[in-house]
Amino acid sequence: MSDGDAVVAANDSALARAGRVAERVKTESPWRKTIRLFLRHRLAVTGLVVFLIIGGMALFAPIVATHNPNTISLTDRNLPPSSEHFFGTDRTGRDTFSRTVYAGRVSLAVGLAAVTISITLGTLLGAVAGYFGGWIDTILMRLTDVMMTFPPVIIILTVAAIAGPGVGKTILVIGLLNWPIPSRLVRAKFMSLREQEFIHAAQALGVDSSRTIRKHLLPNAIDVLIVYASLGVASAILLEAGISFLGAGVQPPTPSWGNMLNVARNVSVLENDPWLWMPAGVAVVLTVLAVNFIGDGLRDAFDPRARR
Amino acid sequence: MQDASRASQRRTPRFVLIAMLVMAMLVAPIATMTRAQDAPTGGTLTGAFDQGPGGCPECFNPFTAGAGFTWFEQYYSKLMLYDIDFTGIQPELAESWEVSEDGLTVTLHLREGVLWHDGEPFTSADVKFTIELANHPDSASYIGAKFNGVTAIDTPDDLTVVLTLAAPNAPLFDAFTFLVMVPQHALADIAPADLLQGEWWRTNPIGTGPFKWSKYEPGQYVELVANEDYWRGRPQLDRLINRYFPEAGSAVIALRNGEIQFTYLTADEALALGDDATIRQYAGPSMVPNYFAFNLNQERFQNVAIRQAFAYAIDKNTIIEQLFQGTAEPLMCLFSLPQYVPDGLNAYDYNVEQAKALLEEGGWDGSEVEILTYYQDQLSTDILTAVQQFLSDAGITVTFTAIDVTTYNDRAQARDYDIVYAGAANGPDPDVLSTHFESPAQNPNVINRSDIANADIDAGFLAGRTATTAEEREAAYQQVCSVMNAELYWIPMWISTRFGGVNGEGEFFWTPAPGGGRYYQASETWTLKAAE
Amino acid sequence: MGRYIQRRLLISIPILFMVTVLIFTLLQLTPGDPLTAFLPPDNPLPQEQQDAMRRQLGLDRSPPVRYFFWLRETVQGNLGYRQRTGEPITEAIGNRIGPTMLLMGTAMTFGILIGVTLGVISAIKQYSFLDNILTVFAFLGVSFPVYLAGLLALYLFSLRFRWFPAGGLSTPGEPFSFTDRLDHLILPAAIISINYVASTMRYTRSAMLEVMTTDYVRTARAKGLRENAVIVGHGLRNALLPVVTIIGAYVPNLLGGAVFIESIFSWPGLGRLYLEGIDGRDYNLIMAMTLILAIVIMIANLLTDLAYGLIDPRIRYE
Repeated sequence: MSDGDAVVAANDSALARAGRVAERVKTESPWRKTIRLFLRHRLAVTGLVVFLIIGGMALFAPIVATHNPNTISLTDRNLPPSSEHFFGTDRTGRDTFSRTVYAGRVSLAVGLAAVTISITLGTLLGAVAGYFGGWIDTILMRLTDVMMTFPPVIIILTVAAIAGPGVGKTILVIGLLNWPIPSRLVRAKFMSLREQEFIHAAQALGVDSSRTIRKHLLPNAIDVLIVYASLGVASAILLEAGISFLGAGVQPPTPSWGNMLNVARNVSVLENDPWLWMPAGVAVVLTVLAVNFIGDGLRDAFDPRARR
Repeated sequence: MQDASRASQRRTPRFVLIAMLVMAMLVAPIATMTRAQDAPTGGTLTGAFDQGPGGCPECFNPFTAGAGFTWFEQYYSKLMLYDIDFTGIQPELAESWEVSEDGLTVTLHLREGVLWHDGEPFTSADVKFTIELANHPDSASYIGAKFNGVTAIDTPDDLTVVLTLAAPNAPLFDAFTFLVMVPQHALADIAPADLLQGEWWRTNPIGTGPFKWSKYEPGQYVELVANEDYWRGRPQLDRLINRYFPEAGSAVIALRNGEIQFTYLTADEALALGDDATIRQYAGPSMVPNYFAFNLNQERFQNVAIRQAFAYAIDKNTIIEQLFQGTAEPLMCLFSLPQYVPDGLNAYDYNVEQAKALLEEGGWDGSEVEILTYYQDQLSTDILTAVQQFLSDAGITVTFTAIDVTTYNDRAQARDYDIVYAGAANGPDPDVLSTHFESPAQNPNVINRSDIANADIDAGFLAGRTATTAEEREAAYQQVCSVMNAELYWIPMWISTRFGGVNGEGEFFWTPAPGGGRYYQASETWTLKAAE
Repeated sequence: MGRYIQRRLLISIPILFMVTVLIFTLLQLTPGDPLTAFLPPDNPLPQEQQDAMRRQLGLDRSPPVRYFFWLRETVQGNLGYRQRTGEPITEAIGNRIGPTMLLMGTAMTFGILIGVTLGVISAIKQYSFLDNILTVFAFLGVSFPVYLAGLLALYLFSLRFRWFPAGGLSTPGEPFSFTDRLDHLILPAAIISINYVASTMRYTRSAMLEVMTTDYVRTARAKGLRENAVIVGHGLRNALLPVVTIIGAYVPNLLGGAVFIESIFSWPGLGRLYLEGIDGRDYNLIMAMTLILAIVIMIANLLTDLAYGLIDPRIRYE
């Protein structure tokens, strides 16, 4: 086959695809289609259900929790799981189940909000840099170089000292520290796409830059952003624990999954009292898996190329 | 004494010898002196000597290190040391000493025949040099500062040192248990400022201890080898290795799998390893009193009723029973040795009603209180979690912040705190606490971060320091203890027990001590090594 | 291309200057200084001696003056001394750079190779049982705090099964041997590589999925090329863009080290040194390490950008 054939074949399939899409557009609205495609993705639905359960438990923590998460009882410490305490009690006799439920509030907020910030910022800067290139690219990307150089611990200590602790500040710090990676990912994608025919065509037709970016380029970067988001949620949830450890972040006795996991740093707890740290660990894993599968489902649902 | 016992052995019948042996086994320190003469058993002891609160990993300047003396004393020596149970001070490089009637002249008689690791003799010139070096402002040594009251050092002969003091100074001998001797012939040419962080300490330090410096692998370990010419006789072991573990949990794992033979254990680990037959445990009081200290610059803490309310609100005994599992002793005042604690003090037993009444009486404003601490271990977090709840039950809103020591120092120094939870490096000599309680007007060298100003406490510490008899000292500190107990500038909490774990075969000795050392460890008798 | 590289190198000079000014300023804002870090919390040092020490450490001068001195010395290649131990910084970094590069190099090489391979497999078998298992594995790998994974690994493989030593670079007091070093390397390198496997795999999978549905891959298939040739020649090559971006972001870790794992495995690396520097507010050490890190990050990002051009010839820099 020659190159000419390839072009013909590509055009054929593009035409065929356009035809299929056009057919569907006639029969159902884009939203319905998206929802239908999403619901066909079994793992995505499972992920959504798990996420809703975890999120719902956190949201309705006062109803779901069986105990006050902060009430200590020094005579009931380190109890193994029982019908009274589903996940046992911690080292000061607090109910681990209730703490895990409440911890979801901080951890989910930090995980989701911080990733939203870093993705928004990263996408914006990466898109501009990748689309325009040249000096704009050079300046913005050197800015990411500078950001990547900053030692997180120093920033966290400084923020804690100057601004004091707080969940909001934790979210901001994590969000602001992490935008360089999504920005470089989006930029790489854009640099490759902006030279393709359909962008040149759009530019030739006089479509303005921001529309080109939003309508033509950004959808192509969704894939990589979903991967970043699901990995980023996990790392933000875990980073929160480290930040709290340094005196910023949430302060005790407020539980977070991260600070509940920190207890396992004590080898005797790691070895003998798995119920103190396993629930929080499982919660993080489930949340991150759920976010990932939801992301997969969304991508498939939105992807015009999906062969379904 | 050593020579005398050896001379007598030659002429005594066998049963006397056996009786002496039995005696020797009962009285460990004496036993060590005879056993050191036997043929060495050899072998290597690998330990994590700088783990836990008594350690100072990769600190090599013994004048500025706040801890780490368990290790320093393997290759350096001091003029005197505490005995194993910290009841008295025993001779080391100083064989004996006397204090003049007026308490203003101290004469030290040095041991004869002590050699530095490079073969040079140890003399009175080294003692004079060491004190002057440590006391030099450029040495930045808190230990050197303890010798500020020494006005002159004379060395009439090689084995005699005469110190002239500005005032009687009872804690001077405690200060000597801090001060390692360093060789004049090796250091005289180095300016104190250059020595402060100089490479001498970590490349080829010379001491008079039972082991000699051999190798330092940064971030990994230090290796010492037996000093053939040690004045008590060659140590039993050939080598000592001090491994560094930045993560405490890793050291415990290395101990349990037999890679190291010794490390510090937290109370949790000690209790969890209670029935592990391979691990021998050592335990002893930390001699570090834990306390809650108020920032007396804040008006809300200036009323003693409020301070007492805090004390009544915290259920100290339940915390000791449950969280410490009984491995701590409650305190009446900041002194722990019984001779300094008078009878009839208020124990401030848990009484939440009394606490509420006192808060009412003192007009507590209901404001939030932050407790600041540098303790980041799990037990301390648990303790503060419990304290937070106890205080909240009494109507006091509390948050707590655990931060790194540097930030702690910075904030405490700037008086940027409400209450701190900390431990005072006390040790057996009560004068160590004077630096926290004495007013700067009386002693400009104090840290007194609570800004305590109490004439009775000042008078008591001064009397204790200048006392010339033990009775005088006891009376003075009992007085101080009563005032501490009544005024509660600091709420005394407890002295915890510290644990060491040993995995291997052979003799070893360890006891927890503030700063990790300052007592006679008998390391020349150690034979501990990995089990086969 | 040559002009582009030249421009990038030229602009990195003011950027490096900016980084050092920013870090220096941040350090001044961080609570404490080398002296407060040096003092034990409960041992007093008379004011006179504190002043002497501040003078000696040069802390008595104003921050701009100190920055200027630092810059003047650094430009001449003198990175100064560690404020806590007096060790020359070049020596301290020199001591640790080998172990860190060994650890991180091993972990990254294996992590990336395995990650890319599994990512490709996962993509071509999308939604299969294997794909789902690998997905779960990947997220298990990133959802666990790395220090916990490290401690758990030590507990299991060093204490329970006795397969590996409990950390360290080598057996203390023993002469160097290759097997001994390998014995100490495997566990920490494996733990670190899990993270690299997990993220590389996810990015590869996603990129492969996207590429495999594009027209020219279909075309390649239609041309009758063997599936493997299609996957590697057409799919993977075009999927490399995000993967290379991520790898470029990893490269600085070669020198940055892995702080937690180096601590848990008592590995004498740069990550630990950095942490010690922060604990001790060792300004000279932090400045030196940040400067080196910044240089590495810039080089890594430059190389990444050049690699884009190789992978996708459409990407040009003018």
